[in-house]
Amino acid sequence: MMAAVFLLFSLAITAALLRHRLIAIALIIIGLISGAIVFSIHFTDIVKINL
Amino acid sequence: MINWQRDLNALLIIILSIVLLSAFSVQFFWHESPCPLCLLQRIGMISVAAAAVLNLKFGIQMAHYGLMLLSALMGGFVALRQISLHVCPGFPKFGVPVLGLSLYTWSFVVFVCVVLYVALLLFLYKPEDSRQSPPLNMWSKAAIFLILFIAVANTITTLVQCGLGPCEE
Repeated sequence: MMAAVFLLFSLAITAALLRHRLIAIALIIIGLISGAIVFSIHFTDIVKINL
Repeated sequence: MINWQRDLNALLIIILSIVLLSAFSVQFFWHESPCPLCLLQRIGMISVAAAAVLNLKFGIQMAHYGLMLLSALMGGFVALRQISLHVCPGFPKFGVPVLGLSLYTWSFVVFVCVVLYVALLLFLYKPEDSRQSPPLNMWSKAAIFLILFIAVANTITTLVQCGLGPCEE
């Protein structure tokens, strides 16, 4: 799952190299959202903190 | 001005690449497998660098700096989260300290520096820069291929370490 997020950023840099700007931006945004989802899956149920 | 801006973006990519390569060296030479939070911090750094690649390839644009700031915020939040797990007195640190600080603390310092650096670049920004996209110089090309190599290497090592499911703590 985490490897897929890294793969998204590898593809984003490759898309930028191939001059596909919008695809690269979309992949970066999807990568950041996926990172946030992975974070929530890993950590919200493991450690309960009171904020 | 455009060349200075692009060189500063290339410099940012190279600095982040050095930080990520250092994390790799800790992983392989000191046999410290990265935790899921550490991997998320690496993702934040690669994301900042990917946004800087956009500046190099398509000209300096505010949207790219926005992506950089979002990525730095995400990575900084994850680093702060990990610091908060170990901040209580008597609670053991995670991993090998480097120059007295844990890697996640250094990671937080890096993300704060990225935010300050982007603030400096935004000071230097001029709207006419976004319309120019001259050919890349050698340093910029080297920086792009270096960060691409690091992103692909992280994909492979994370796949080997974690497989397709969630990573082990």
